[in-house]
Amino acid sequence: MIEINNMDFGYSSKKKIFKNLNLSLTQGHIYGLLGKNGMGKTTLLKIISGLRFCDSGNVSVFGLQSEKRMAEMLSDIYFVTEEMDVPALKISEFVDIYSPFYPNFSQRDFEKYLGQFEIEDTTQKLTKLSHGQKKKVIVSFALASNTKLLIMDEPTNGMDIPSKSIFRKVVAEAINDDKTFIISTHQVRDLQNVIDAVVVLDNGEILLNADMNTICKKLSFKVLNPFEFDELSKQGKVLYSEDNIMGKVAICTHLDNDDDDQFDMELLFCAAIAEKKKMNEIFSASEEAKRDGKSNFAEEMEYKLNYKNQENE
Amino acid sequence: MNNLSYNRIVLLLQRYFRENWKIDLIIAAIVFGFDTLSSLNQGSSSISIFMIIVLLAIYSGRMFAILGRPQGAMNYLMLPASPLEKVLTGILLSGLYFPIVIFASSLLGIMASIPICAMIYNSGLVMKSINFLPNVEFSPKIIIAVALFILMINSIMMFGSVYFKRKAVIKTMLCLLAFNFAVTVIGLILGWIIYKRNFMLLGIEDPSYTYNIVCIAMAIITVFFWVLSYFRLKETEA
Repeated sequence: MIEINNMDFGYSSKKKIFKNLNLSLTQGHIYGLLGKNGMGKTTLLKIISGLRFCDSGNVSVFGLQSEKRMAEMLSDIYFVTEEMDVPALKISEFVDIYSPFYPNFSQRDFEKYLGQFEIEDTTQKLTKLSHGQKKKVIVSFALASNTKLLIMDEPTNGMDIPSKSIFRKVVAEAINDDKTFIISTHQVRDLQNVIDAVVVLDNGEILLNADMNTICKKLSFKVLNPFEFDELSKQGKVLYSEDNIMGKVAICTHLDNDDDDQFDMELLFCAAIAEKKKMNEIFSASEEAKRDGKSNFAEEMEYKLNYKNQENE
Repeated sequence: MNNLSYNRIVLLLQRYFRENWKIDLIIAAIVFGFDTLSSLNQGSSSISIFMIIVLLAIYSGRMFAILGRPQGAMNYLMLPASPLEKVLTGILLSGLYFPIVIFASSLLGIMASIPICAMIYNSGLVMKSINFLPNVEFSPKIIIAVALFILMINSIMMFGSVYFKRKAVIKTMLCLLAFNFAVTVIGLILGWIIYKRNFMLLGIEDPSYTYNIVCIAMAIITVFFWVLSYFRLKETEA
């Protein structure tokens, strides 16, 4: 659905934000685009949606070059920006004017989502709403547009705690096999339960692009007491750890007894940033294996070892 | 690929009218009031074509003002319509809709002044003249020339609104003045070199030929800036 090949981009010719970036996103997923501030998350989203043009390389969405901003492509993309610039219209007027641009827009869905966000009165003016309320209206509209690609930049910023929970619910309701949602955030805990694939961006490179199944197959998230931690460290299985009140929270290479796994997106993000090389080794093996048609985890690891040996030779 | 859809242009126009009808109505009311009052004062209308051109220029210069606001620009560029459709909508609004609104409200203002004049001066319903261009006799040729001139200014200002992100009206007008000044200076220098005197003092040998040349030049400049606006909008990033 989205293919980025050998893309270079920089706001000035001297300082490139992305160098030779490759990324492939498929439909049916809710991607969490994670990264520190200023690492190019919003820029990447803008490039995908055609708002920014890459210096070299190719960016295509639904097989169309995004920078051409074809009407057909735009009618299947909705971009919820971090800051809101809304026209001085009532909610109902906004829907009347803008919904015809989106052929799959559903009024019923819009009313349903708006109701879930507890916004009943559609005669309110958009400009009179608070930032969080504006976000709820725009998110409801975006979801009801039923576009194949929905991009949301920091959608939970400005939302109160109950609304964040509702947001997760409506997003999970709205996704289907034909759609792709990309949610950029640095508030990873807000979206932990809704994202089913993770893209970690740091210094213009993709550190991790994997779905939850792959991540859970390859990594275990554990709370370890000092004894367990030492034991696993000796075996070289601890990839990344942080102290907490219970002892240590750690990401380990896949362990057999993963019944008590507590997936932690924030820990995964920190591990991806801190242990770039190790993470790359673990996940690139699966990419190589996928490319060569091997899907079983054992096969992947075997493939990885062979790949390594070949490299050493 | 379908780059031009009548349906999407209608949607863009609808969007414009629903969002801006109040502002346009206020402008029309101001023009109406101004022309009613000025007609009362003088007993004859003095709709200044200069004032109308300035109003139209400001309107065209703000056609893509939304591109000056980062979030607004993102929303506008992501609106599902091609750049060609967006520019065509701009041309229809600045070249057709708004001139009609201004001229219509101006004429309505004058007509409204007729019965008031009759009451004040205690005379019959008489309007002595509608004076768009002082000392110029009205003819289809003049109307065509004025229309082309308005379109040319509109197209230049519309390009300015796509090109400059902030204060597009002032910047475009300054550029226009600078360009005009430069052309005049070059003309004077060339006239001096070729004819050994100020070429502006030279008589026009064939007014009809000059008229045609000027009209064609204005039409070409208008289309040129429309095309330029399209390419600029296509290349605009947010």
